[in-house]
Amino acid sequence: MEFGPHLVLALLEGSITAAVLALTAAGLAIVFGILRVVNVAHGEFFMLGAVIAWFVTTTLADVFGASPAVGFACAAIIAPLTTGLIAMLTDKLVLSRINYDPERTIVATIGLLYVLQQLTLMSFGPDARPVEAPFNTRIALPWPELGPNGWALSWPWGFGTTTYKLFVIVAAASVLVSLWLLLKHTRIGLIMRATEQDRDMATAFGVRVNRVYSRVFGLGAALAALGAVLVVPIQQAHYLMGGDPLLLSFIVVIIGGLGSVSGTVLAAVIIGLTDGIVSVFFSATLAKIIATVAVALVLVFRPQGLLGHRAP
Amino acid sequence: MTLVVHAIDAGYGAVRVLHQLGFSARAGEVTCILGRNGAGKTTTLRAIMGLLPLDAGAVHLGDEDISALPASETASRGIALVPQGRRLFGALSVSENLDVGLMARRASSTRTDNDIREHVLTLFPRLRERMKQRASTLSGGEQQMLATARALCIEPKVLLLDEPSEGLQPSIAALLRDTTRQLAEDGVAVVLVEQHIDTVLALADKAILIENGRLEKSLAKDQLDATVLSRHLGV
Repeated sequence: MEFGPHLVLALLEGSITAAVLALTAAGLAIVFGILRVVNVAHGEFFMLGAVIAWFVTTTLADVFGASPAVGFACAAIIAPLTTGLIAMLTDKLVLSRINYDPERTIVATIGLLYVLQQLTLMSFGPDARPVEAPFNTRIALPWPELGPNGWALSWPWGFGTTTYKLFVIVAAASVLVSLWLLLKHTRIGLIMRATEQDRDMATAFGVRVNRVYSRVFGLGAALAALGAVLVVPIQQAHYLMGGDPLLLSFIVVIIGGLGSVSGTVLAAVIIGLTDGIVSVFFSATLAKIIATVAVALVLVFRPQGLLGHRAP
Repeated sequence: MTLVVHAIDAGYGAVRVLHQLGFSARAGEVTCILGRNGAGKTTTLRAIMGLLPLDAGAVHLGDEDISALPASETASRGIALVPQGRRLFGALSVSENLDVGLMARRASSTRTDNDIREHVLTLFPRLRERMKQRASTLSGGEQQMLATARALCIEPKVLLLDEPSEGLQPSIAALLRDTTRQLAEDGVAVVLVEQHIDTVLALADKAILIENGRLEKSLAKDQLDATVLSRHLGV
């Protein structure tokens, strides 16, 4: 395959990485932005989403004979909801009791990371679990070529994608637009942004801040879980799969600007596309090295991130 | 409705700032809290709002003990705070800041959001031109107007004002003074922390002097004069 089609394929793969990463990291960004805590267990919420998706699709198929599409649709609802509820329970049992103290929250969520990981290992075992995609039609893509009779479309071998991969990009983008609409144009979004700005004044104006924190923590975890549900037909569910999403989410949240959802999405697109291109043309390891170096450069030259604001 | 502060103790962690502080603020009156920097004036307002837990004592609004309520319930009882330094939601627009105030308005209110919004924009017409603007980009005077307007969206029975004229040009300070007087005449109990002698003399129906978190003296309107006040204000 020539360079051009190869590059388009790399961009497509990168777009899928970017889409899932943007969803997952947006969850981490709103939790940091509003609660001002670093959730080290965020990757485990991603992992829980994937494992619950596998459990739901497998159970529905085995017990009720449900089709992959029905199983996937149910998983896309149940996994984020369950993960969000687990996060809210964690908030009530742990984070609110340590009053969202930033240092103690880091330690507490490290503990939570291992608890969730080991409980999943004990419950579902160490094997990677596949989830069948609800639809997966291959689409061959055309490529314009200049021949002796002028421009014509050719169909290079292996140059194509699948309907499911395109669906992942569209679904993630739709969820992110919905999140933006929720934050900017709803009453709960206004409450969340007011709480992010000034916890005390929000309280003075009747906002039950602890309830907001609990819901935001749940929403952040649900976004990570939804990202995992989308990607699990491509990647498989495994109890150790939370590490990479956590690292990449931290990378894009720092590059985008701590707490800035729009900055996080922008950074996810940059890192995702870079990852796709570098992985296809060089190696996946080099892609990770580049992302980590990018974080270091941002911390040195623009500590507030691409779209973050400097602390006053 | 009368706000009564009964012998409250409050502070920050192990540091106790207020010691057995008590006073009352009646509807239709402006009660000034005076004292030097660090005397505990802002702490008093925070304690009334429930933003600081009380170590002892109680705060009553009418017959209700509001010190037992969560801080987020204080606004719904009709107590509004205009804090020192304005503390607007800077990244939100002027309109959204008013929306936050409207969300907290009293459950017993019979007026619609639009009515209340129109009322506060009539008091501060300059804000009408800035509705889409970020609060952090307003001038100091406009920010103070917005902080006051946001509090008025609650339709307060008690309005706590913490140094509202600090750093303002005289014309804006005069506008806020007139608004405060009008609110008191409309039946609101105003509790005003203020350092400017002119403002205190123009507005106060009574004053309490705080020294090291303790009530030093209560002064009726006819006992207030510039000489007395200058001894108790400033650094």
